[in-house]
Amino acid sequence: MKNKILSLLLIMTLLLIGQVQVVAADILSGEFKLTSNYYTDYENLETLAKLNLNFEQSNLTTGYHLDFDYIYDFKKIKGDLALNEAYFDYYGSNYDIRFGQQTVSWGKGLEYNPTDNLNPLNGMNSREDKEPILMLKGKYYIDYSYIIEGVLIPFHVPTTEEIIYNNMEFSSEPVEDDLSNMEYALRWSVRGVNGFDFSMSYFSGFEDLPTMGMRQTPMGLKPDPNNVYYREVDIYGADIATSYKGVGLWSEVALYNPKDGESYYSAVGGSDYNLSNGIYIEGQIIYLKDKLLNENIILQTAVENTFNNIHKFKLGSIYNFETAGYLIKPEVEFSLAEATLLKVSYDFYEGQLLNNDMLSDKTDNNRLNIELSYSF
Amino acid sequence: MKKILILTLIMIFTFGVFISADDLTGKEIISRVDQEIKIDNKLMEEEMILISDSGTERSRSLNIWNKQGQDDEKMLLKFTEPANIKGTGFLMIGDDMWLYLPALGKIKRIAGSAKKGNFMGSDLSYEDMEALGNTGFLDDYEVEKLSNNKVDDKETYHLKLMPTDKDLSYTKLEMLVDKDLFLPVKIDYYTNDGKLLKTLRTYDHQKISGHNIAMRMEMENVESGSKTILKVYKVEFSDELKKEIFTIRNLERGV
Repeated sequence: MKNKILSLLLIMTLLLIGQVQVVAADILSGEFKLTSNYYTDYENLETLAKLNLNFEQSNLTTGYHLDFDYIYDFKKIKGDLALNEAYFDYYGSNYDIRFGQQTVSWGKGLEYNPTDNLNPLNGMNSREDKEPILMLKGKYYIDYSYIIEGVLIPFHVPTTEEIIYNNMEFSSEPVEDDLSNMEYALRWSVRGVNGFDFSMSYFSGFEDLPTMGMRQTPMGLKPDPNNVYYREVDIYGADIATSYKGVGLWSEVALYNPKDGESYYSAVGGSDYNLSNGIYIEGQIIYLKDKLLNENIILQTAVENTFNNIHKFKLGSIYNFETAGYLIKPEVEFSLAEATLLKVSYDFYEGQLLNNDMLSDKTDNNRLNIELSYSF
Repeated sequence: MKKILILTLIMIFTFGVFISADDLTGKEIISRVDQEIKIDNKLMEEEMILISDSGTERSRSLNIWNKQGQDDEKMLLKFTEPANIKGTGFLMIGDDMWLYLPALGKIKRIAGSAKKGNFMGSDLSYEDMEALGNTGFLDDYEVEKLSNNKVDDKETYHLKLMPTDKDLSYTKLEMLVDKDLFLPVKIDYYTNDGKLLKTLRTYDHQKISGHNIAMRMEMENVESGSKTILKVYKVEFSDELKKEIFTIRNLERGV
């Protein structure tokens, strides 16, 4: 509620500040998308129409961005308006400041980034997008290659407030809105020094998924459903990327150090290559240990190419060595006209994709996805 | 007597120029071509038209900034149209390349092998874009002058270029260079098996601020039948494009 009020205030302020001298002349842009998902295991069809509108203005020193979606569900006969990002920018001589509801993406990995812990997931699936939240972000450019970035997050926004234990749902104790609970993060990054990009980061805050506390019983330590809370955590991260003999290489690692309980870490190592016939191949190995200390070793691969100059084809796959679960995703994108795309993909799941008791990356999600989009 | 002397001098001068022009070696010719291509502090507004083998066209508008550094060439490229790729940016500093995709909000370092790949779905590779827009050919190819040709009433030099670096995509280039402008009017690109892969043709050569510029380039993929047209709408030469333009900050934010 508090975030919604703040976002509303932000929108109103942004709309009032429309008089900045325009350098980027386009103020409004957006996308209309018609999506149909057919879940083959449930024989369930959902069709959504989404209108995304972006209002943007910037000059040499200031700018703003306002971005929201109107989503209409044809099955539920219901429409929802959702604010995505809404922020101000201030550009100094060698620093940038951004304040408002925003998404910050860190890390060099492909889709999965252990060092990217600022925004919560938008749903209970590890492959969901990140949810924009209220932040103050500053970037200081020491020179062309060295950057220091700082982020303040005034209120903790979790991925979920519930936890399921013995098939029952328990609500968590929210993190109190207190100055001492303010989350913050720092990152030092380097670009293009001796052919390398690398960064080191630190995050201090709370986990996005709740934890059930333990209590002493005559039978020993047992989970306490009355004590569900978000653990304080320090996260130390580092990533590196380079290119060697034409092969792109990257690696990313994060150590999660919660105040209560054991430390855990996740790491990613990957590479990509462009064949002379235009085919692009990429692959990465993910070692993922979650807060419940479940281990996952995952191989992620993708092959991409264009055909007829204007259309694209991609075949993605994920295989978890711990669960033997996998996902195969072929995807074809047709360019029907200027800025008009038709995307057809199929998610074929077998087994459990993620060894995790909380996120719902499970089987039975096989779906055919058809998207028609027009950008303006 | 005086008239005879002047006439003799004119004849000697004309003959001398004629001899010297045709006496240019392949290396000297390609060096002149590089001089025309490697123009420092250049901003171009272009349209890139992708044409599939069936004739379907897609258009993209882009701005390109070039600068010749002391040790490396710099290029920043931003797409301005259509809406679905607007804001996509590409930065190259020497051998380092980065791509910014606004939808992901992230900058990605591009593998060196991407230079051989198609540039944003076009028939030009990153390597072609680099050679034609920034770095030229002399550093990467050995040149042999074959003959003089005439193309569309233009006198041209016919050159054969063999790569000195085995990592380059092509095993041979054949280039026709306009004798007056020292711009390539046609380049044939050959692959490992000696087959012709692509042909570049340049048109509408104009002198802008003392520099010869091809305002239209067409790259045809002979194998697939697709074609990419690059039309230059605006060229600006700055006394000094600031080094700050070619930074990650501008790749993300825009110039």
